[in-house]
Amino acid sequence: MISINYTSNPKQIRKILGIAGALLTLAIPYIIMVQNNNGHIETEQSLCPFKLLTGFPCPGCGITKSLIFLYKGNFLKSIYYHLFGPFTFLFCFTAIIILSAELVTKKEYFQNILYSKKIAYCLGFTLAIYHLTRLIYFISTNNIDDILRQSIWQ
Amino acid sequence: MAQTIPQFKNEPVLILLLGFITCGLYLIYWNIKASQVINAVAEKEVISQPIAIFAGCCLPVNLYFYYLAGKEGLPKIYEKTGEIGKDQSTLLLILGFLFPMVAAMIVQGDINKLYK
Repeated sequence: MISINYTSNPKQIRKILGIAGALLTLAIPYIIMVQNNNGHIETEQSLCPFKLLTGFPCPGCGITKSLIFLYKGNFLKSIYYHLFGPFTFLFCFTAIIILSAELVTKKEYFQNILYSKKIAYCLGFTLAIYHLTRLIYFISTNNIDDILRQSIWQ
Repeated sequence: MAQTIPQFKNEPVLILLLGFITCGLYLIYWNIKASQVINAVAEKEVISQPIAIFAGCCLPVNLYFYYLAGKEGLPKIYEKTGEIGKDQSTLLLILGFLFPMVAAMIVQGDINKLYK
């Protein structure tokens, strides 16, 4: 039997880790969606360490809920929870396909797009603006009791 | 060819404070700057800029960031500062999952040793 040793090359290990990370990102919201039969996803306590400590959302808060609603087919609610939720889904899905293809064919694809500093900085800047806007909206629509209720302190 | 190491000296406690005050936004900037220092010390791209930026908003990417920093980045810094090389990836992975700001403080503490 012929076997391929994927663990000897650090670059291949990184690709396997990348696939595992992308799979986890997509699978965890799906498992939560399947397990949550009582329909209380919107009111469930967030597991984000920053939100648990402060009550305020971190830049990634809401992506899990966004993916859950995307799986349910509710696109508007998905972007309500996080603008980048559908983008995360597309990114992870594409990453799994590309990284798997790279492992099998031993060639590299779309390196100039996936590792483009320009694209990364643009996305980072957009995310920062989005998070800032979301924070202002969050503070203006929640009083101190609401914020504390979303943390572990109340 | 050896790269110039960018100046990025900060008080670790400042990262904790700024991380809280900016609700995590500062950590995106910190990830970018820390990855630039690590890449310059290692003289190769250990942590790419897209990974550094997405680490600030996506937990699995954040864990990958700290895994790379602990496994490949910090040993190069220890080599440069003359310390005993150790693999910090497990500690940083756990802290990156539970308290990302504390993991950032540890990495910043090691980065600061470069400028002594």
